[in-house]
Amino acid sequence: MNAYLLRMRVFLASDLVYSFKKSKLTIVATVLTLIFIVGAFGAPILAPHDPYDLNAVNLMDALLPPAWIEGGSWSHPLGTDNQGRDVLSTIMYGTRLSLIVGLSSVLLAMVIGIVLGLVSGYFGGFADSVIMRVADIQLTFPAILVALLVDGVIRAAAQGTSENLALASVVFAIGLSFWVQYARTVRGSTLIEKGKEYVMAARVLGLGASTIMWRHLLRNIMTPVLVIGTINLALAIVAEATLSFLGVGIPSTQPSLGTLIRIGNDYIFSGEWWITLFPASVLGLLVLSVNLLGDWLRDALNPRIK
Amino acid sequence: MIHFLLKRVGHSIFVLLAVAFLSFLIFQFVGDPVASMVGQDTTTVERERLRSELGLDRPILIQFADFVARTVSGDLGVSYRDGHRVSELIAQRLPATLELAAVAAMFALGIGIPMGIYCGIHPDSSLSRAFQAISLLGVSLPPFVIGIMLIFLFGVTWRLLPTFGRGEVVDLGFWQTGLLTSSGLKSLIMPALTLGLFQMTLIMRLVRAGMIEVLGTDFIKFARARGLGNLQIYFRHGLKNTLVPVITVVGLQLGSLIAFSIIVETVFQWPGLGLLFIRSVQFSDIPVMSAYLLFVGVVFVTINLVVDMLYLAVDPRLRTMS
Repeated sequence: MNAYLLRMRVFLASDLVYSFKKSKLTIVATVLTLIFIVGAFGAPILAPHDPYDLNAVNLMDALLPPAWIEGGSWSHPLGTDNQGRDVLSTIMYGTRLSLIVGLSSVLLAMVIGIVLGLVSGYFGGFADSVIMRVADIQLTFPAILVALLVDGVIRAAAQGTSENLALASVVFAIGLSFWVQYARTVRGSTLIEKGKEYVMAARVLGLGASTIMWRHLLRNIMTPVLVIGTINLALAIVAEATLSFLGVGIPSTQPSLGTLIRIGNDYIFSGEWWITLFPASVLGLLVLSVNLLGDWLRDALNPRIK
Repeated sequence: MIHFLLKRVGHSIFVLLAVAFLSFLIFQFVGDPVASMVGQDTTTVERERLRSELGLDRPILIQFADFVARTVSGDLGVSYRDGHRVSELIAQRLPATLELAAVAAMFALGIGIPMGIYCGIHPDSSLSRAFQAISLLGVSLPPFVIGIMLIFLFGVTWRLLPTFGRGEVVDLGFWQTGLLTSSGLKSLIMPALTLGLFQMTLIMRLVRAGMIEVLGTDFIKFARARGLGNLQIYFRHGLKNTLVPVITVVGLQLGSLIAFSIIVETVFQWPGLGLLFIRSVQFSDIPVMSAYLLFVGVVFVTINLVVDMLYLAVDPRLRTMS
C-alpha cells in the first residue's frame, strides 16, 4: 500500500501532470471526452428512451422539435426523428457505436503496424523492402480513399451484406488504411533500439528473435505508438462517420453518428434541423476534444514521432 | 540530377503498375463476371465455355497484360448498373469534378496565404487568434459536417444559395462548364468553400509558421538594417523563403482535393466523378470502381512527380546534390 502511495506521489509530481494542470484547454477537452464516454457507454442506463425498442417508439411522436421550441416536450429534450425515436437517445447509442468502431479500427491498425514494423526493422532485408514499398505506395493515397476502396471491395465480394459484416468491413477498411504510420514509427524505433546493449545481452543469452521482439523491444517503443493512436482515434472516428454518411458504412438499423447525420440530412430542407445538426455537433465536439487530448499528449511526452 | 529524375520516374511507373494490378484484380476477381452475365439455369459446361471465351482461364499475367493494353486504348469496360461504357461516364463527369477542385484550390490559396502572412507578421493580435480558432475548426470538423452547416445557414435559413447540383451548364462540345452562368457560379460557392476549407487552414498554418521562422532570422535583421521598407521585407524576403514547403504541401493536397470531392459531391449532389464512384460502391458496380481507382492512381502519381520536379526548380541546392 505504501509503495502504491509513493507511486501516486511520484506520478502527481511528474511533468505530465504538471503540463496537464497548466493547460485549461486540455482540461476542458478531457471533461468533454469523459462526458461523451460516460454518455455513450452508459447509454442503456442513462438514455431517456430505448430508441431500438419497437414497442416503446411511437410514430405519433415523429418529428417533435427540441424541448425549448414550441411543440416540443421535455420527455424528448432534443426532439425526435422521422420514426419517433428520441434524438438524444439515438445520439448516445450512436456515439457508443462510433467509439467502438473507432477504437477497434485503431487497435487493428496498431497491431498490423506493430507486427509489420517490428519484422521490418528487426530482420531488414527482403521483408523490409517489400513492407516499406507497400507502405510507400499506400501513403501516396489519402487514408479515406483507401478505406472507401477496401470497404467497397468487401461489400462487392460478399453480396447480400449482413449487419455484422458491414460493421466488420468498416473496422477492417479503416484499420487497413491507417497501419502505415505505426509501421514506419515502429520500424524506425526498432532500428535504433536493436543496436542497444540490452538487445545484445538478450541475444547473448540465446533468446529467440520473437522473444526479443515481443518482450524486450516492444515495451521500449510503445510511447510514440500510443501517441499516434490517440491522434488516430479522432481520424478513425471521422473516417467511420464519413463512410456511414456516404451510405457505405454502418447500416441504419443500428446507426452510428455518421449514419444519424445521413438520415437527418434529408429533413434539413423541411425545417427539421435538429435530427441532423445535433449528431453533427456531437461528432464535431468529440473529434475536437480527442484531437486536443492527442496534441497535448504528443507535446507532453515529446516522443520521436517521425 | 538526371539520376534523381530517372529514379522518380521509375518509382512512379512502379506505383502505377501496382495500382493497375490492384485495379485489375478487383475488376477480374471481385464478384464473378461470368455469374453476373448468365442466368440461374446455365449449365456448368456453358459457363466454362463463356469463361474461356472471355479469356478468364488464361495465366494471370497474360490477363493482366491484356487488361493494361485495353486500358491504354481507352476501353475500361461497361458499367454493370446502366450498361454505359465506363470511359464515356468518366469523360462526362470529369469536368464537374475538375472545376470544383480548381475553384476550391484557388480559394484555399487566395485566402490561406494572405491569412498566413497576416498571422505570421502579427502573431499575437486578436485577429490572428480568431484565424487560429477558425483553422482548428477547419481541421477538426469533417467536411460533410461543414457542408451540412453551410446548407442549413445559406441554403435553408437565409435562402441565398442553391443547395444541390451544378446549376445551368454551357456545353462547349468537349467540356460542360458551369463557370459561365450565374446559377452555375452560385451553385459552385458552397461546395468549393467546403472542399477548400481544410486546405486553406493547412496553408494558413504553414505560411504562418514559415513567416514567423523566417522573420526571426539574421538576414531579415540585416535587411532592416539596410533600411528596406516593411513591404519589401515581408514579401520579397520573408514570403519568398516560406514558399518551398507550401508548394510541396499544396501540390500533394491537390490530390486529396480529388479524394475529398467524393464527400463534398455527395453532400451537394454535385454530378462529378466522386458521386459516380460512391454510387458504384453502393451498387457494387465493379468496372466503375476499378476504373476510378486507376484514374485516381494516375492523378496522384502525376501530381507527386510534378511536385518533385517543382522542388528541383525552386530549390537550386537539390540540383547540385547527388
